[in-house]
Amino acid sequence: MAHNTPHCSEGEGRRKGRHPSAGPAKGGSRNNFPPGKWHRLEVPSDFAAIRKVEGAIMAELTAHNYDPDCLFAVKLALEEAVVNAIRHGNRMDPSLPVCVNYDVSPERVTIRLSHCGLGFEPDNVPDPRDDENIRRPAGRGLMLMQAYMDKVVFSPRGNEITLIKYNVASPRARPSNQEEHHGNSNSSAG
Amino acid sequence: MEIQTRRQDDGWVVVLKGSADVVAADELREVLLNLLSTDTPRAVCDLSQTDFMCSDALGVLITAHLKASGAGGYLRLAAPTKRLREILETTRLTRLFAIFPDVAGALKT
Repeated sequence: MAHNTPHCSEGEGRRKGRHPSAGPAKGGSRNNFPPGKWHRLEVPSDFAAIRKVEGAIMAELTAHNYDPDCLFAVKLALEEAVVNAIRHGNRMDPSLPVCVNYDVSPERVTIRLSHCGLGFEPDNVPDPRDDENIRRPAGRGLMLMQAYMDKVVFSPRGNEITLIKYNVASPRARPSNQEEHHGNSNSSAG
Repeated sequence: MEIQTRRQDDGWVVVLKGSADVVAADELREVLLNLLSTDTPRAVCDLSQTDFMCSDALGVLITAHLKASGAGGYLRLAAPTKRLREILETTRLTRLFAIFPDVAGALKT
């Protein structure tokens, strides 16, 4: 085993010893958890564990009457994010966990997912839609996340991703810009 | 996901029922590549009952398509659901795959 005490890197929040359930930290640092009712899951680097994560979050979204298109989008993005964390982040090491923190409100779902490995630079990922890449069997996960979520943000180290999807069925779905303080904009797409 | 295969006309029909997620992608790879390794490297994937497809499963379809093409055959897609069609368009894989409204049409073309 590569690590004696495997844990997920959760950016500044982790280093400050803050648990997501503690609520938002003051000061507005870029890795703070915004206000909300945060839940936390930690699963092993095993693809079968993805269903546990999806099941928990899908149940919350369904309870909040999210639109079927939203449910599909979140399921797809979540699958891609967890697979990437297991495969590229934790290098398929089953002893290393993937950490998922999520907050579901009637207006939006925010998912923060981190792994124990090295990050990456999203801008360096080739566009799989380009002619020279269209025949490559891999490399579409990031693009799908960006296409199906309203916001995709990576931590500066690239080992934590934040996914946001607004509930189109909610009249208050899109908050003011002031509420959107989820870190840098390494990668985002609508 | 449930995968059903049958011989029809001059090729194979592979029906994908349910969710083509990362776990199912491994099984799909094995099934498709085995079929396309036979002396009939022609297959149609019936996507009319596929409600989800992740990038790994898309990658399997691409690999199978390249294998079939290399062997002088084909892998064609038939009757994708609305969500599958959307994924194929979003990834622009509509440029790579021949997509047909139904299985019969895919086999006859």
